[in-house]
Amino acid sequence: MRHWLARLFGKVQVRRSRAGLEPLRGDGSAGFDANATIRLEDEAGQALGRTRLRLGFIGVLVGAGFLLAAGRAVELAITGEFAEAAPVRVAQVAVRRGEIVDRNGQILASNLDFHSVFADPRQVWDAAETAQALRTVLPHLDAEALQRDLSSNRRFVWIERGLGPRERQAIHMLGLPGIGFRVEPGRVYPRRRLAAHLVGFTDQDLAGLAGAERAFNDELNDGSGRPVSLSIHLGAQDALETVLRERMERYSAQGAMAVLMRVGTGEIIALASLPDFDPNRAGSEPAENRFNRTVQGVYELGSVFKPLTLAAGIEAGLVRLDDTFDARAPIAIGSHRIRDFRPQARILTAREVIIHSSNIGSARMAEHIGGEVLTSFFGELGLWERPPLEIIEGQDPMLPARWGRAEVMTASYGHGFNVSPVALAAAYAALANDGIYTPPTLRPVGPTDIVPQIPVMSSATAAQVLGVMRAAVAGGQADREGLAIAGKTGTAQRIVNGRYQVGNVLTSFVGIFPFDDPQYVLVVSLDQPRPIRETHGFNTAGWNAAPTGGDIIERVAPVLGVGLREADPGARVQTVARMFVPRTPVRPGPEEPVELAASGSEQ
Amino acid sequence: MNAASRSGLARVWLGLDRTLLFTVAGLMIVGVTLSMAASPSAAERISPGDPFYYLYRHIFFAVLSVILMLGIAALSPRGARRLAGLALVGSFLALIAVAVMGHEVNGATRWLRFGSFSLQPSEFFKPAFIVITAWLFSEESKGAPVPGRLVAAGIYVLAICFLISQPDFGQSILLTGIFAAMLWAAGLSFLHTALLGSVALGGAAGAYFFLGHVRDRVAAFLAPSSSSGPTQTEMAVDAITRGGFTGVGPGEGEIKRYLPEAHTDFVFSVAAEEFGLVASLAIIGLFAILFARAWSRSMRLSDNFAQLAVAGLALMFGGQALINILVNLELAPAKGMTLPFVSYGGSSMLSLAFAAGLLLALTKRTPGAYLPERSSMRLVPA
Repeated sequence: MRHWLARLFGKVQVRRSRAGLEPLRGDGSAGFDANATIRLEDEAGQALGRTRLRLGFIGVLVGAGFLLAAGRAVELAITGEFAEAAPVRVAQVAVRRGEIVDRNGQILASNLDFHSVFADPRQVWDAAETAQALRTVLPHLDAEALQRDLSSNRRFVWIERGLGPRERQAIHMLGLPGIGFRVEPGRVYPRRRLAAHLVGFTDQDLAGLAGAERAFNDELNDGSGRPVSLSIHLGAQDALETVLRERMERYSAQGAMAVLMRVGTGEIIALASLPDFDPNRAGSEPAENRFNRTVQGVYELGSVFKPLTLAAGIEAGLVRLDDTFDARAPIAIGSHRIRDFRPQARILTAREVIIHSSNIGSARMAEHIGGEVLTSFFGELGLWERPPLEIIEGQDPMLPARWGRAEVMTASYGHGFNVSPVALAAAYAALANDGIYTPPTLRPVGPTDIVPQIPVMSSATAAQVLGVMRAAVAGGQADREGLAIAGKTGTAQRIVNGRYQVGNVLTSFVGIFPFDDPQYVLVVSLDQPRPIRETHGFNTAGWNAAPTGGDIIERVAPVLGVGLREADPGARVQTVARMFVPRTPVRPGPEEPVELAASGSEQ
Repeated sequence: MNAASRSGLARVWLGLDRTLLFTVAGLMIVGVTLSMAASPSAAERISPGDPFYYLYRHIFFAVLSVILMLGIAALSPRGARRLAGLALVGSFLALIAVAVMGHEVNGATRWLRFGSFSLQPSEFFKPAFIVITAWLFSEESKGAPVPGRLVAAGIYVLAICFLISQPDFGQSILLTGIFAAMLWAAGLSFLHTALLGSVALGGAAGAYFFLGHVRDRVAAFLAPSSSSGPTQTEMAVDAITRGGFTGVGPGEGEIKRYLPEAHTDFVFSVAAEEFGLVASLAIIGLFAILFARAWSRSMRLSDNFAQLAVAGLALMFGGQALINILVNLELAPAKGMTLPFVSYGGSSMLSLAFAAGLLLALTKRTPGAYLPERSSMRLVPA
């Protein structure tokens, strides 16, 4: 051992000299000075011997390295061989995102594999030629950018994603080197524009970006692949959209929206916002088309709030249907004057204030009720909050900084604050539901499901206001035979640069049908409808929003199974009236028996 | 002797070490087989009617390499030394040319470009340097009046400067390892060994602390999870694991789609993925045989120059292969070193053939070249 170490490190040379001497004997080296030669040879032999020893040492080290490599290779191979069904990272189809279906299971959003084309620029032979060939199949590609990508030094560039099988095959047949394909799961919307705003869309990685796709993203991706059903009814949705689209075109309106809500459950049955978009290519649609007016938009909706003002008064016991309000002259308040569009210029009953849609009368009613009562009543109807719809694009309402006299008076006829049409529909659904508010929802409500119920007003109040609303519609543009529609129109003038614009209006119609057994609430609005010959040069709600609402109701009622009523609205009123037979006619109040809507015979 | 009566060529052929020759040939065949994985459709576009363009190109260089190798192998040790001297001067000039007008790939300037063919001078420099260093060492220990070690060290330092400026740390480390091993094997005293060892350690530490590129590589190796996404070596290990015992099948491998250096630095992973443990053990085994054979020849050579040169060349092949394979197996940080004879690349194959030719020339069986089998030590005075 000592010798070995000594030779290894080359320290001892002289001492070892004797050992190497032996084999040299008898080597026939005659003629040399034997001693000198032996010494010289011995030194050279020493050097060689040491070199050999050290070489042996290094050789063992490198050999150990090879053994290590072989051992590691065996270890990895065994790992691979016995790691059963190790997940393959590439081309692994993840659990499918759930489908979106309507309340009857009709598919609104589904999955479809798309083919995506990529290039490995290093294997592309001729970038210019390849780019040109690709453009024969995909003409919309930018030739210069494509060529730049193809001649880059990267190993992977996307050329186009989301192709159909036919385009994939066409590119495949070009036989271009360096061009490859990947199959990617994609989302398709077989109903295209239908309910586009409700269904929403995803990005290319299938993450929900809007609508139900975004609102229920976690549920759609929970790994079960179960479909998510929405409350909407595809038949009703189609009917509503068809009418709305046709009417929007007829009045050359900038936009249109409609919400159909089921009374008692808060389910959204149909919802449309025009202009709309095709979610199959949401990215290439203008952003304003993707804007969901019914939820994201907040508007001054105008006179459609008057029945709610009346309800507030009745509920507080401060107004009865036959109480009178002076509408003979406009009210001056600050620099602003409250006028009537169709001045009756007389003293009106509360009922007439609604029927003739008197701003003056409504303002006087609000003044009588008081701002405190009115605003808290509107608040209980959920108007001061973002509607609790699952769609998270919803917007907060815009309210005045303080409720002064002017603000309260204008609020009574729906001006001075902005709310979303969905919030308005939910408020009227409470009125239609015997005064019990149910939050709007996009999910279907089953017979055993528990719906939050918030009492806002007595059923008596609700019934009276409904009666007045029926009278407001009866014989008008929105009235449809046998459907017993109760409703109210509203024409709101837009504020541009702080001034109300005369021609720039948002016309709305709120409808409840059938009014004796309210099942559905419809809110429909037209943005900047033009006066046309058919409307005799008017652009007010009664001439466009009301007939639109009537048409929609006429179309959706049979789809939703709403039976036709007897023609006589008066008879219906009597039917309702029987439910609220007066007990002790002392003082009208929320829990007290009251006079009924169209009875009118008391005085 | 019989050999003396035979013709020159036959004598050369009979003297060649056939174990080394066939091992190198075997490795080249493995390389050709793996290059069949190159997309035939892509090749067809490059040269119509020729779906195996890459394969033919590889075979062309392989044949050229074999011819070059055999031609050099026919040289006598002295001839080999002279050729190495020429190559050393030539590759030095080329290294200077690279520094001045080199072709840059992936942030490193290592290549000289001639049309579609690029040449990496440092590949030719290594074997030439090894042979000349062996000669200088042996001359000094023979008592010749030349400061052989100092001259060799001078060449070494100059070469390292060029390599680091490219920058090419893998080659620097390999060259340093070979140089140190040869110096030590040539009979460095204990004192010098300790001294130079500490200098080397200091140099390594300096490289780590002052050169960010080196630190990044080492950090990436020690803490692979800190970087985003799988590193190249992690992907290589995945591929090798996926290969299992018998592989996923020829052409079915996935790693070559993702790794930019799949056909050079990570060809081992490609082989292991497609052909399994069979292929990885075959490659490791072939290199082990090559190294062991050359090493045992070196230990038995009677001439100190040939002994050191053969050892150095064996270390070069073995070390380069081992580093490449250990990187693939995630046992060493990524270095950017090719797998000798197997990796695709004309320049690298020709330079390796040059080195293999020198190895064969120096290990040829000629009278007196080797020590007799039995005797541990016998010298014939010159």
